[in-house]
Amino acid sequence: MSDNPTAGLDDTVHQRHRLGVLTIAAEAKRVEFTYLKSALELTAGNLSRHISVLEQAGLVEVEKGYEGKRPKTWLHITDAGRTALAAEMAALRALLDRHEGR
Amino acid sequence: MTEDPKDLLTELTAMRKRARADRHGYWLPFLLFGLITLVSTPFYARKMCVESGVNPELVEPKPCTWSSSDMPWLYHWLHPSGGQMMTSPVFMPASPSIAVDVYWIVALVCGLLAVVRWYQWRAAQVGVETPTRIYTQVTAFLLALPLAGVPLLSKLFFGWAGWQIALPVTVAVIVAATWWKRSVGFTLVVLALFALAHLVTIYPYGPLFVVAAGLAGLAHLERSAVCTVTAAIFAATVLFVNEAGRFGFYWPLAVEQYASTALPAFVLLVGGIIGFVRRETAR
Repeated sequence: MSDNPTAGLDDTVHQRHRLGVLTIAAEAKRVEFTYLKSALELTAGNLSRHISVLEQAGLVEVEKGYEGKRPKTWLHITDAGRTALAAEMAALRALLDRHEGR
Repeated sequence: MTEDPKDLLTELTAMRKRARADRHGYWLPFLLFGLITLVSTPFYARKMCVESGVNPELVEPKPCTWSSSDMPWLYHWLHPSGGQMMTSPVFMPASPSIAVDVYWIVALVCGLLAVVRWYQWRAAQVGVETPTRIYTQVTAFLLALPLAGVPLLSKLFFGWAGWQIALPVTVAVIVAATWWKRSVGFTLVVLALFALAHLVTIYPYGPLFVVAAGLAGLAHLERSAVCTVTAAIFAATVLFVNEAGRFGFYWPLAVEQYASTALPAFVLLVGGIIGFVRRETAR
């Protein structure tokens, strides 16, 4: 295995918006689609595409329901998602350490 | 969002902090349990009596005497060790009453349900939900153990089976549970909860231990400095109001009727108000 920190970066997770989705989802039991759209400043279509990629990779699970009459989409991070996020953050920190010559 | 690793990490940290701040809702449970604690005060008031056949206008009333045999079966079930055995900073404790036990059971169950519903409601408003599983598990465990676990174990040890049989059976169950869960930590937590549940049955202000343990679980979930500090000060206060009498500390007579409930309630109310103000100013 390469000791270059970039080897630890996962293409699915490393995309910056998907990393943002996982970071926010890891902080809560579940997070609502509209909250993510506002926090990441994305359009609904863009966010949906990123969530689909994460869902297909088994990193998040999506739950659709209603709050009264309003449809709501909730998302929660899976154990695989938490592991992938932790690995990505560790790789980013290692990369930063190497850049700064630590 | 940026591509530079340093900026990216800074941005992700800011996002995490914002999501954490948005999901915080501890101020309401603090205010709720502060009020529940405050409302329990009259249940600890000392009943005053005059001897029969004496004109009450001519004599100073004295604290009523009581006998364990006068207490209903539920009292003996809930306090298998004989009731409020430990000393508190109240110089002359109130005579035991089943009313205070019933009050705490109802208040703690309603408080637990209200807190879980509060976090669900808040999630629907804000869009980010705090996990409440650990809080619910700890509180439900500490409600169930004094109601059933400790009384049943006491009956098993000192009544039905005798400690010669009950002790090896209990040790075998503990070893089997540790093996089944493959976790010594799990077993230690369960044993600690049993010990805490025992304290609930023997201390006069024992139900406050249930509140303290639940709020410690909440502080673990909320990951907020104000929440953690308030929960820690509250736990220390609960220990103090239950134990200080053992070390010779007693409240001044003027306040002893309410100080043991007012002090912990004050800690929670202040923590709740600070949490609420922080939330409002962060908007």
